Amino acid sequence: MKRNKCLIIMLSFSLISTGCWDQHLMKNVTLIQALTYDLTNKQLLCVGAAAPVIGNLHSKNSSSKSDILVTTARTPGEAKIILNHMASGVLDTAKNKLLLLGEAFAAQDIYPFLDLHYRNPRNSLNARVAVVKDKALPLIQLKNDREEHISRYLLDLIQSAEESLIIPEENIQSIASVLLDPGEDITLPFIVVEENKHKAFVKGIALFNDRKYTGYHLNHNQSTLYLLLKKGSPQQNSFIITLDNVTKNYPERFVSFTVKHIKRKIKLHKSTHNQIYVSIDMNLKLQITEYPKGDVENDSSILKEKLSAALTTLTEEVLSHLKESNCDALGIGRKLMAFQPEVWSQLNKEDYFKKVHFKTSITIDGIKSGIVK
Amino acid sequence: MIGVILIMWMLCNQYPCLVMYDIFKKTSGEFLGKTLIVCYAVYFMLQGSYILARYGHIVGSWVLERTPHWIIISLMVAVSAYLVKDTLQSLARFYVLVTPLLIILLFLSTYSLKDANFLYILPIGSAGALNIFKGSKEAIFSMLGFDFIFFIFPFVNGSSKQKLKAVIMAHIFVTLFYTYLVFISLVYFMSPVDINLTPEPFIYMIKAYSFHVIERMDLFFISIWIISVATSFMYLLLLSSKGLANLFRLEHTRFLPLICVITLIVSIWFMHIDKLNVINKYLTACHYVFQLFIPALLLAVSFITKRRASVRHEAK
Amino acid sequence: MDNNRNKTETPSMNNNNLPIENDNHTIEKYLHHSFKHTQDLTVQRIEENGASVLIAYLDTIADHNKLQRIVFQTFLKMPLNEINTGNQTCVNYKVLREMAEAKEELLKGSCVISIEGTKQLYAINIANDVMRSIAEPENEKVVQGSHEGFVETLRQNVYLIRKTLKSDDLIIQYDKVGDEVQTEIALVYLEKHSNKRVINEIKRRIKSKPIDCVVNVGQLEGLIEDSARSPFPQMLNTERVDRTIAHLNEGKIIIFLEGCATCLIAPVHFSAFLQSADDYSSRWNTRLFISSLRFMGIFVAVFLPAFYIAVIAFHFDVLPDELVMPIKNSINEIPFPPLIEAFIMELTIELIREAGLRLPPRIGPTVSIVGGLVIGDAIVRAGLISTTMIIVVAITAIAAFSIPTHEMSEAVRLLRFPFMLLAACLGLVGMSFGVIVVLGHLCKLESFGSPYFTPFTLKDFKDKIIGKYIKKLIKTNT
Repeated sequence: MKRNKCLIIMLSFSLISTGCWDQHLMKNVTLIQALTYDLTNKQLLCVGAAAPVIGNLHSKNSSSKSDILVTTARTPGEAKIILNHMASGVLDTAKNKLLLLGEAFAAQDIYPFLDLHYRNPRNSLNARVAVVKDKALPLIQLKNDREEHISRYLLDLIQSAEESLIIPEENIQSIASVLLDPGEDITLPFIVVEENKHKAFVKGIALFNDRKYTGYHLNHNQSTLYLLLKKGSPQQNSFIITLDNVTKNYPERFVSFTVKHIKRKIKLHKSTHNQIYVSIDMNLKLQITEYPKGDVENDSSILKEKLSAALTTLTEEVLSHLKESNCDALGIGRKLMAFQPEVWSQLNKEDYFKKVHFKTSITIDGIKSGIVK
Repeated sequence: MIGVILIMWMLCNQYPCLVMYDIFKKTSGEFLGKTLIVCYAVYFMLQGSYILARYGHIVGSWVLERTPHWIIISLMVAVSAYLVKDTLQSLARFYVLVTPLLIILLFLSTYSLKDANFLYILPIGSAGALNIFKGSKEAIFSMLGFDFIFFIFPFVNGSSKQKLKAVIMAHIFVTLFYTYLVFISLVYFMSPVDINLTPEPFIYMIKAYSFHVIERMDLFFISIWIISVATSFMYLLLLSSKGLANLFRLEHTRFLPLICVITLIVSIWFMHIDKLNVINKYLTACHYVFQLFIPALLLAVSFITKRRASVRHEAK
Repeated sequence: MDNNRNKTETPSMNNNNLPIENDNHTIEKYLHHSFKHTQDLTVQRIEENGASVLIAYLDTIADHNKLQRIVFQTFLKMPLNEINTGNQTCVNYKVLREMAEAKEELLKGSCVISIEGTKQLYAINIANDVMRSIAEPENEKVVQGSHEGFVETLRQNVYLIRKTLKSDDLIIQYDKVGDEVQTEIALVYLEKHSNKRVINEIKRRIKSKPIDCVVNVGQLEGLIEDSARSPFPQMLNTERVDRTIAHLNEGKIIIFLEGCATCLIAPVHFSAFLQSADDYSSRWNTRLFISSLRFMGIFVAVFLPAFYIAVIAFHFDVLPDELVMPIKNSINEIPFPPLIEAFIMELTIELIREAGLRLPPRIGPTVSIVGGLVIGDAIVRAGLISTTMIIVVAITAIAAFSIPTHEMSEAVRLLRFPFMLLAACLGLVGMSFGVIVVLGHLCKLESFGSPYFTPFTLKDFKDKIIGKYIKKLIKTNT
């Protein structure tokens, strides 16, 4: 009994006196909430980090803003070391929410630069990744009146765009598998800074080929359609489509709608190593949100016809964009690997996507008119 | 696998009221039996140290990066020794108590299905049956462990058939569970490049989860998983100390400090030389010897002696 | 020394098994001697019916009215031969065989009478029945249901049980505990339901453990429980009659102690400490909800401060994005490390509780207002403790107080300090070691041979919860 007591006392003593190696006090930490990677003219990495400045607790209306640290370095790891010397506390990227890549940076192989994020257990893996037109750094230097922290503002921007099905939900973790997969390519949100308005603007989806940004991006309508194709489950979404160009009354030329229900099938047909045949079938149910001409029910058969034609051309646009950029975002290669491995093994892994022939057919099953006719 | 269970079970069934260690003595004679017991005790200790080293490695690289390994490991040893020093019954109660924690695991893994890509596992069987068999050979013994119930065979209530049923059920459950986890990991990660890069795919996978109120599920998972590690270390501790106790006819608690210190030192050494995979290979060979060959041999011996005894009986 | 001298003078006087002496003088001397000449021992000698009569009683616990009415007016008026034949039609008296018995009877408040020439001692109970009225226990109030509570008299308590539980199965066994001062205890159980092994075990433990004097159930509990060093209570204390009866019906054994309004219930399971008397009168779904709330209470009370420390000192990455900034804001300028911060606040709360406990009801609330509101507000304004820490500590305190049994609440409050320490040393990993030790300890504990903390198995669940309600349903339908 006495020996036990001694042991317990010794153990607890040793724990208390020598413990806390891993203590990592939150109050001593400078939290990085957004990171930008850019490429300088000298092919060096320019890293920008937004760390929110913690205001005094009691003065509520002190405008706490973000502190922007910028440095150039050869790798993200080196940049982190340099930034750590600049920051007031220990730099911590555990709560990083955003990783913004400048256009020039994204155009090179991005995977080696992400290694830092995958290797360290403390790094956050669910930071959103996005490509920014031109340079990424100005984006976190934006001055915004309403949101206190720029990272919060940007994250809200991205999340709302995700919800309205304009951009895919991608974070550092989820792109990893796809980056490494020869049979599938990633797509990332594409953001533009509007210089004079001090606002950021989600432009669409940036297309990647293998691990490089191709310079192509999809616009709103195309992105939404692409995401419908890819995910197959409609969330909030909206399209606006020109019905015809001849109607005199200008607003009546257009119709806008949301997709309520979608049944889609991307089917891989028997292929050879030269020709890959894929058919895309979509059955949609729509809800008209704007139809200035009025009386949807009356026009429903014409609408169905016209809209399916318009959507088909839109799909073809999307597919041709994908093909031009050689971005296999739909994972056709993965499907080949799974179902026709013998075809896949003969294919050139680099540009197989150019050999894919798509056949799209879109049918509209129903149109709802909303609460008026 | 089922074969291993059956052999153990038949062996125990021959002597229903003897502990496994007594069976050794009975079937192979006093001296040989005693050496066998020592061998088994050492084998359990080695396995325990391996588990400790694995655990120390994972905790060290995922959660407590700067804490010295010996602290993490010795805490585990101390905690397990505290539980093992009491009765078998309380240990069993503890095991039952922590079983529901598996549900959390199940939930966490199922949650990841939401961004899974089922195409990753196709085509199944592309590597060929031989490779699959070779791969499963390595993994099979990580599922074994329930057959140690046969070491405490007489302490368990119920007929021997019930025990067999329980053990087989447990094995099937664990196998299914592991298969499920492997499946989930495969579906989530890209095979084979990405999964080769991540030695602990499951933990990696749950790291990115965000449940709005809580993030970094891997920390919680590891904290819970520590309890499972403790259970598996505890039974090894118990069995090896029981073995030594059987040898010297003393209370098993007398040997506990000794065994704890030995496993502690060996596991720290394992971690120090940093070749866990090599050690695992050697251990796999040990698994074959101790879980398959020796019980099978003993079974054969016991059959022969029994028959001889019955023949002699008839002759009389 | 004193004893020794006495022995040499009158060797027979210390012998308790002394047969009854005929000599009134010897008896008087014996009594005075054994009570060490206390001044409230009254010995009167009178002549009645021609015989010399000795009447002895302890003045302080005797009722003079009774003495007058029963002894002087009735008993002594009876003819001697009627007393000798044991006719007890008028007065209930007891015939004593040994001098030691006389001593005991005196201590109980009886009057001992010796009539010269009868060679017998008589004892008549004239004890002063000063009794507290039956009231609802202060610390176990219920909203609905019976409002009876035990009092400090053993027999009265047994009466309360008998009165409510009218069964011929109810068995009461008296026993004595204590070496110097013997205190009466009573074991109450239902023959049909209770386990004989447990009863014998309790009796054995009471007999075998040496103790001078037992004044409190707490002492008795410490004396007979399985592991006295455990922080968890292994016997249930209650002052409520209905709760005791419910436990009796479950086959538990009740121990009453003379002079204590609390009874002990054994063997108990961990979950018994989470039941309140209200549970018996509420509907099953409410009960399920409330008892799961209490389980959560235990969980929160033990783990929340430790978890908070682990989070802000080790893994703040578990916080979601929306929570990081507010918490970071609140703790950014706190001078103390989280462990110290938590200890200061926890100890303050415990101090406030302790201070408020002993004060008269008029001052009590003042203390809690000063302690809770003023200190809480000022300490945050001064920037010593973070707001989130205050929130965490307050939630913890409330959770700990939601546990219905006082002892378990104390155990839980104590248990969170080691957890806080572990969390401050090793973060979540340290906490899970704590969990292993506590769970393991709970699994090791046994309450009189039955497991203290058995987990629910599927079979239990089927039998206990579903089975009960289905049975109930069938019963109500037919």
